Amino acid sequence: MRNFAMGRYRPYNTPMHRLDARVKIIALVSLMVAVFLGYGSVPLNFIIYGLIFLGLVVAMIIGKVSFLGVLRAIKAMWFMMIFILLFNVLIPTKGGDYFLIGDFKVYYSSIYNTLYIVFRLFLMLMITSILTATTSPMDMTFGLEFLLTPLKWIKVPVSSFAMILALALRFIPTLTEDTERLMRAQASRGVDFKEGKLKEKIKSITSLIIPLFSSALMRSGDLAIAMECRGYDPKAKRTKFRRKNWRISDTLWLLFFLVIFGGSIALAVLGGKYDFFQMFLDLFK
Amino acid sequence: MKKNSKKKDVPVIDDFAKGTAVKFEHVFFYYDESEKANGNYTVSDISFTINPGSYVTIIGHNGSGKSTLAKLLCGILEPCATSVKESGIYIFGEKMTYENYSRIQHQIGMVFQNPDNQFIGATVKDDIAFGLENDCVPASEMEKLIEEYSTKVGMHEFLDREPSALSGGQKQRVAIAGTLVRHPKILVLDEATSMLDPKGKREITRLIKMMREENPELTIISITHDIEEAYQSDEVIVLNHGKIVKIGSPKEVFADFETLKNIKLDIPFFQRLQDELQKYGIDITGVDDISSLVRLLCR
Ligand SMILES: Nc1ncnc2c1ncn2[C@@H]1O[C@H](COP(=O)(O)OP(=O)(O)OP(=O)(O)O)[C@@H](O)[C@H]1O
Ligand SMILES: [Mg+2]
Repeated sequence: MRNFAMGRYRPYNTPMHRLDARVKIIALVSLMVAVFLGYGSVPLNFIIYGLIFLGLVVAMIIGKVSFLGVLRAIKAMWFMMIFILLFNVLIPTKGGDYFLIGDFKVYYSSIYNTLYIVFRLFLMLMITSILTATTSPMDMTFGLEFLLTPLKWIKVPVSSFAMILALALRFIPTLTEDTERLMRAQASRGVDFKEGKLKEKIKSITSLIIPLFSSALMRSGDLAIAMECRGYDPKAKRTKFRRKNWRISDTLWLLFFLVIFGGSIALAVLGGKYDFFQMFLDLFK
Repeated sequence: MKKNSKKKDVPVIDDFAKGTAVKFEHVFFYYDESEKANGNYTVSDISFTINPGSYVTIIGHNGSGKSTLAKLLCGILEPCATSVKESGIYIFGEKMTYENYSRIQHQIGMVFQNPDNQFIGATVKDDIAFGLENDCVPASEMEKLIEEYSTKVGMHEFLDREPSALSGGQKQRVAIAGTLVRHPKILVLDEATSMLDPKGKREITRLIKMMREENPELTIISITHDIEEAYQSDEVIVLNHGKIVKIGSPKEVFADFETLKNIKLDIPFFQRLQDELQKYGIDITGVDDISSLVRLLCR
């Protein structure tokens, strides 16, 4: 069941997996920027979101990212979508075109706004799940550490943070196992995690959390000693085993995403002044 | 102890401990001030010597201070000050101090009881590489060393596996590889097999045997509850309530039934058998494996 969870790393060997983690993180940032900008006119916005969507679908197919997780996410978003729609419709807007439901004016702009939000969230989900499904936690921490290098110059312990992140990711399965074991142990003593009133539920969760914390603390103590015994010193310099060979294709993709980054900002700024979509239509007159 | 890696220090060999791999001299330790006030030291007046290349086991019941002793040995804990001048821990003749312990630590590798809590890397490869990264070994050499040591412990085909996809015994073998790859002169195993099933236990025991044949210089100190393992070692140290009760060759130590019974420790199968057979006038001293014993008895 957990194998289909959204965004879980799946170790295939696809071009998406081989792409350098640093490029993928930069891609994530630039695509997020592109998704969260508005481009002036409604059709243009939808065209750009649509293009990004198509690009992401292609990336998912190449990277063998499961669609199931994303589909589940949509299912979960239904409720939110209706809520946002109601919110947008009920809030009075400046004006523009509207249609009537009974006596109530529903502005098109509020519907568009809702759609934007939903699309943006959905695209963001796609982007992050592609990143996490195709990048191993090790590569991800390595990429983050590299990209955050400038912070080292102002004495931020980036390497230590990267190590903490790597260890946290390493221990997720171990702690999940712990939780499952504890749940079974407590259930065999009659603790019910599913039914009961809120108060009882909180009580039963406590019976889980306290031993879980104690075991996690024990583990971290052991781990710290084991790390020290193998010569770890957070302040000392260390070499890196995982080197990534930077390839031509990485450079090309990096350039591509930088262009997207710059292009989307430029388009958004200019889109405020000119209606590109209308200009495009005018060409065919 | 805090690290002091900036200051470069040179080894000062004490004549007093020359030629030994490990020497404990009147070592005391307590976790708790109040315990000390009562005179209850966790480790109390421990002195012993371990020669280079020997295989020593430490036995004792739960809470007798074995792990504490191991942690003192690798400099994770610092013994408390005493009035005796020589008191302290000597590694290859050099007294361990606040200044030099991080350098001395390099010579000691330690493998712990819980296989999960010492698996640091995300995969087998990364875990073996962890110590090498700390030692600033260039990445090009790491690959070679990882190949070599993973083959040694028989984990070569699992290099890309994550810890959750490995058995306890396999994780323990990875931990041993990750420790040995740093070329320690002393290997400390703190109940490294106690969380494993008999098969995992046998694998590790075989591995230790192999390591000793390959590198006779390696000093192995194994803390264990496995009396049979202790019976195979060169020397046994018996701890009880933080004190050494008995120290010597397994034959000597296990011959002393009374002491062992008093502190509720088991007697190895062979020793018991020898003892029982002696009552019937059969002498099996000098025989120490099952097949030759069977041959002898069937004659
Ligand atoms: N971090 C600590 N703080 C306080 N007391 C401790 C700590 N660790 C161990 N002790 C106490 O010190 C004593 C010796 O513990 P130690 O872990 O050395 O025993 P052990 O011989 O390794 O036992 P086991 O066979 O269970 O591993 C025990 O009484 C224990 O309660
Ligand atoms: Mg112990």
